[in-house]
Amino acid sequence: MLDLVIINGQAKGIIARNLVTGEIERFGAHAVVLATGGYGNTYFLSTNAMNSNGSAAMQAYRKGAFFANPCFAQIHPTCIPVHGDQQCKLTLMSESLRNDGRIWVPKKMEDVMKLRKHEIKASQIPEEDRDYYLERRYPAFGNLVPRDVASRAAKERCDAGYGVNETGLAVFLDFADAIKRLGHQRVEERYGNLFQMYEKITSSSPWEEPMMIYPAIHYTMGGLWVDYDLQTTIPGLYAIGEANFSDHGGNRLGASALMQGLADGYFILPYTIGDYLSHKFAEPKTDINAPEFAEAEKAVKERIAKIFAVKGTETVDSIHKKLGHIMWEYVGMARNEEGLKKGIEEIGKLREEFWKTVRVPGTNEEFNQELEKALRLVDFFDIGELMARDALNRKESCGGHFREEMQTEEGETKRDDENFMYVAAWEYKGEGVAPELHKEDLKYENIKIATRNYKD
Amino acid sequence: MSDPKLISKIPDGPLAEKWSKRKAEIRIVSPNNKRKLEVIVVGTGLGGASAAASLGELGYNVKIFCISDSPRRAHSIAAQGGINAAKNYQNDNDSIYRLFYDTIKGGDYRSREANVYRLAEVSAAIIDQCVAQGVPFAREYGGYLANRSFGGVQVSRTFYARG
Repeated sequence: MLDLVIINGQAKGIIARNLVTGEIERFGAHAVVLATGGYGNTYFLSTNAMNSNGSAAMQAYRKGAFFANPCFAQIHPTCIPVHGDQQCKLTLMSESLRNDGRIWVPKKMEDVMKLRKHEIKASQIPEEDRDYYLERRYPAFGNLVPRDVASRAAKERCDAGYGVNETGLAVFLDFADAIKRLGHQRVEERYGNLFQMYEKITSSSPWEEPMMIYPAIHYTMGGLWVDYDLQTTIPGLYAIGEANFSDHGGNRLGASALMQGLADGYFILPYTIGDYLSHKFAEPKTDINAPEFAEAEKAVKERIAKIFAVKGTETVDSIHKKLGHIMWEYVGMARNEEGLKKGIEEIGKLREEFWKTVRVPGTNEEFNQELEKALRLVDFFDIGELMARDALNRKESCGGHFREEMQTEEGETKRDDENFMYVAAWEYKGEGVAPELHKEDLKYENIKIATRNYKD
Repeated sequence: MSDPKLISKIPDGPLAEKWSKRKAEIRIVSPNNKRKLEVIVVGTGLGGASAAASLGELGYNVKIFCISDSPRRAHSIAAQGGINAAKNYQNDNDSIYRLFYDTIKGGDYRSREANVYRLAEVSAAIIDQCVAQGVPFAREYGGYLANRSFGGVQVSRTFYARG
């Protein structure tokens, strides 16, 4: 989908590119539902599928749908660590592994150094020299603290120098105790497929040595703002699943993404969309020859032509990788005011670089994945910038959004409920113009608001 | 005060009755009118596919758009972990309220109470729907659906498939 078509203020159709032939096509309807997922691939390296992108949401945003809480991105603690700069995809190891796996780093720096030089193996480090830091810091939840907490704790240990691989950016996830307690067969029943996947990727067997893991971008809680009926600020445009912002706040719990996607798709949207459509059945089918369609199609074709016209020297991926570095560095696991401002500046520069140096081979009228990627990258620049702006505005630490200026003495998130207990919904104001912030206050009438505590 | 442009349409009344109340208020479209209506669904992951299937079964004309070779390649289809539901099959004192509470707390108090409660409320029906469709959830030796735990939670409420 390359554009949303709005007629008389209502969503009436889309412009899409046929991925096989390149044809730009018009589709009309009485309502449009976006189930287009999250924008985690802004970071280039993430656990998202390579195809996942935020373009549909961005087209809707540019046409007037508000974008809520873009800075809330989830960093998953148990991914296979980055192993080099030629990598384009990260692999998740399921959180379920934390049911029985124990996360640790060595207590002694000398053991860390030996591990990095491959002089010893993890299994040779005696029990008393291991720091099971999640169990130490959060006795009540132990290895099953939420993802944002586990990710930050891993970063804290690695920043302190205890990372266990050559890059210093990895911790152990150990199954030795589980294998001893449950036996080989029970562990295999529970995690056999995951062990196999890990071994295939790393050629190290989790049966013999602990897995090495590190946090990576996994999910985005932010998304298009929707009301209780899952309708965006554009009448007739709905957003469901990861594409909307509605259910996970600052951090999503494991196994809740599928729950939300299916809840929205099976049991909520089919009812709520009826309320809108009940006023529409007398309307004729949307005419795709309407001037609004022609205009949107023309804009899409111009955008594509503009990309081909650059004729530079850089591949789309090489520029996207740079965006990923900027995002991870300045809008990643720990953010601060100075860094976020720098990030916005760097994204702006990179966007200019893209429009001067990108090269997309081939033509539009064919199967052209480089073109698909280029179109998506144009949107990732804007999403990245919006994330940084939102992160800059939210001067509190909350869930996956960690502002270094706002932390407790123990390094935990420090919320500011007085000033930030709201949904930040951003309205597009035009290219190169700062978006406008709208606030939806959050009211807690049934739950006592408290500081999250996973210690006792 | 919330911004006047953001009308959340959250129904009044007690939390547990909000969704029922909204469903009762919502206008519906009769079957002979549904077939006059067209809906575009962009995306074929779990959300898009379940929405498109449900709307299609209801009788709407649905146009669905997919960026992969097959909807089976969608990102949510590749999820490893599983899906939560407040079924309390483990008899570990799980409930709609507990799933609601865990989700709000896990989200660090930045999500809407009404939306999250509704999510917890319909979660059990999702499992029934999936089982009826033949989703091969992991089962115990005796045939019961198996569960495991995820972070931020002290019960076992995740349904999953064995690889």
